[in-house]
Amino acid sequence: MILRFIGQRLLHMLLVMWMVATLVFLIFRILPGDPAQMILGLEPSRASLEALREQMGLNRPLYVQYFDWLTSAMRGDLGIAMTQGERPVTAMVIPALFRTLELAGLGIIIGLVVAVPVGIIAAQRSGTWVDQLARFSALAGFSLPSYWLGILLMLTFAYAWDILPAGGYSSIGDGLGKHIQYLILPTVTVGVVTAAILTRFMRAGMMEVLRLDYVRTARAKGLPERVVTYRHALRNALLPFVTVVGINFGALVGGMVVTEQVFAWPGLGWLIIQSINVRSYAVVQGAVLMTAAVFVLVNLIVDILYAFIDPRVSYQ
Amino acid sequence: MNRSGRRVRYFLRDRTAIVGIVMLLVIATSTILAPWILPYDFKSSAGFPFEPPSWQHWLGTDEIGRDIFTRLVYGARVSLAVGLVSTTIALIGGIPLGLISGYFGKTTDSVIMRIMDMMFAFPAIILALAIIAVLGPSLVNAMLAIGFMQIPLFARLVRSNVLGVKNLDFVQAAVAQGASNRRLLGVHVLPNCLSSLTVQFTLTVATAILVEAALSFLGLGVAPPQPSWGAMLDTGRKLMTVAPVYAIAPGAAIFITVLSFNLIGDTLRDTLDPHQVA
Repeated sequence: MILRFIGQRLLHMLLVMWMVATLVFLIFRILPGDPAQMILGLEPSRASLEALREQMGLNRPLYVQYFDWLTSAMRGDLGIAMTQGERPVTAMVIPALFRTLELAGLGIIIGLVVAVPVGIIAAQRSGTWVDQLARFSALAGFSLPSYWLGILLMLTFAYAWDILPAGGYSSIGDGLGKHIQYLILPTVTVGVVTAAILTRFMRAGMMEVLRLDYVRTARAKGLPERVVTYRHALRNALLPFVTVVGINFGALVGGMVVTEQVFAWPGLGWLIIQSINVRSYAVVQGAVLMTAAVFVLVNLIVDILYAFIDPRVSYQ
Repeated sequence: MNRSGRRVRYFLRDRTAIVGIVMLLVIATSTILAPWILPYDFKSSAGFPFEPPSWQHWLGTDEIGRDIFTRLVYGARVSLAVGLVSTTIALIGGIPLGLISGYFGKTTDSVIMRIMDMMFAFPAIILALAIIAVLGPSLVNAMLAIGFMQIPLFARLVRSNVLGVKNLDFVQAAVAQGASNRRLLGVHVLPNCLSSLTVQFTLTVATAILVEAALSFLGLGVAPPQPSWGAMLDTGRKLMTVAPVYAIAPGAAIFITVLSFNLIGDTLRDTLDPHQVA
């Protein structure tokens, strides 16, 4: 039963991945704009333009290019970065992906540590000033351009106080302490915005559950409020919350583009911008596909997780 | 009449929404009246480069001596225009898709919704980035890209609303009376989506402004000399050791504008949609 469910979700995921790859192809090949011309600049000679188009395979019929792109992508071959030292795109995208995941993962953890308790307390005291404050702070955090927050943190901690590096990256191989120093400011930036979004959902979910009959019953039979909140209400409020966290993790991976840019953190988003600037089509295409793949994969994991923790979900 | 009166009063009782409305009114009127009320022009220099904040230049001057406050006021034009136009594009694209999908169901529904799923599989800004990467950066392209990527949001919202009312008695009664599909959707179904569409519109404008600022910040938005908050923030960031105010002010402007839309949207949701607590 459960295996069949997982199988079905996997199949669905493959279908979505195929459509995503198709959309990426469409954006890059159907929209007006010629990759070869982009590389060569404004007024290339006809001959050099033709030569490059030939080399990049842009002269072949569209359906041939499409199948070629699909089959290579399935083998993990995302092409060659023409304007970035002719390196294979996959070798550039994969390390960047892990750096982005590190930041996104830590951001989600910070978000959860803040959002769960604050959301619960706000829901418990709904309508009081505590709730109003939580609601307003969450809305404010939600409206905050994350890169601006990053700039403010940088101004304070890197320039005014000079206790943390302003940006950049140091791999774990060069020492854990140094790695963490570079990690702090971007992580906090990502964490604050995530916390704001998650707090809104935690509060709403908790309020929804606290109004239900079974909670009233639990109170009526004299259980202490603490038990009602944490044992009875929280468990059910956490169910939809899992989905929200999953979706946000996926969105975070994409939304990190600007934060990475501010802190010169060499993740996927940073790679996309660098590649757009040097007109490296294949890399942008590969990195965009990879971002979407993470998003789809996280959603799959959440779906399966959900079926495990909620006995009411039927594996259909 | 009576009910809508009650709603207006309920809406206005929440002071946070009033704060949002007042802030937006101030921003909108000042940017519209800017040529008449501001002493400086946004594209020519008004003093020496990097003058510190003073009575003549409230926020100082930028790298070529232009008044930063003036450019900030003019910058609202791009943000508001992109926010409103792109969300309208999303609305115009999303409503028919949602109506058709929800009302006709079956294969039509699955096809449309799978396409929407596919667009949802891209984190918002990534799709916009990809489109801009191909089309090239400009104001119109930013509007198109941001509007395009928000279409699924409206399509899904309208679809779920349609599913909610399609089997209710008043719609079935209209079907029994032989109303055309067009009349059914336009007169009976769509008006029921209006309140949730209003809420979604307000909140989406907020997102659109944030994305536009992000695109400009990355150098993929509006071309200079037209001031845009995102681009100003990017310049300010590079000069933050010389003129910290330059790195702070444009971000604050984005924040206040987005917050205003979110405050209004949040209160609207509480007012129009009594079932939802968020």
